[in-house]
Amino acid sequence: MAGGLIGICALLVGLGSLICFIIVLIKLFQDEGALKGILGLICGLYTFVWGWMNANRLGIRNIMLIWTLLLIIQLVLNFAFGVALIPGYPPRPSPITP
Amino acid sequence: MPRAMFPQHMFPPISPALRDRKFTFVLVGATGLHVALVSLSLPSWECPFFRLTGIPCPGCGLSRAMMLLLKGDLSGSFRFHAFAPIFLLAIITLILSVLLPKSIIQPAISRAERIERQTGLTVLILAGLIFYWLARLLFLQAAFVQLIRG
Repeated sequence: MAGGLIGICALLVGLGSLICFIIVLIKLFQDEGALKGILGLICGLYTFVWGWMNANRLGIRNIMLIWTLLLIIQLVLNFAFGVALIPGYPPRPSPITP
Repeated sequence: MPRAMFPQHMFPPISPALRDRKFTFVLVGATGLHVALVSLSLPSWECPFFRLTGIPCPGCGLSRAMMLLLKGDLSGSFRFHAFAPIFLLAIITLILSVLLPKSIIQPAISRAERIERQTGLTVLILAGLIFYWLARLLFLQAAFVQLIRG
């Protein structure tokens, strides 16, 4: 049950992150041209940094805030539940043999 | 003066970015942090497209490929992404543009911009990257996806 809920949460966070990425990518294409747009498509991190550097000028500050929040949630989910998914975690105590 | 190879609206993306030291500094910092986290197998930036669709984007695998290249594993690097050397060179260029004084870097940036405009080098590299991605998707999709998924 908990696993399913976390999965749905991760899916929603991923979807939100993708939507924010596409919005900022469109702005990048419109503002900087095709080449930088393709570069932004290849390297999402470039799009993210560009978005923040131009957030106030383009009026996308709220989008960038939402995207950053979603990324943080994604990192927390990966860290918390990614660790829990490691085989053998938590380690079982070894049996006592006579 | 020779005419630019491509229309004026297709501004070269790399050399003008080198003039914006603030942007370059932030980009280099973010990239360095990302590569460091990946090398330590810690959660880091994930491709939003791949995360939702399960389909790798043209840049998927570049971070791990560059990390392997820095470790000297050429075959491993090539397996993840063949364009890693080019992107690593670009990142080194970005780092130098931030660290070196303006008096040294400005003439180099002007020369780089001229080369970009006259040869269309960046366009060729980006086009090659897209074709490389499409070829991997069309002919090696299962292996490609499995490699990126890890």
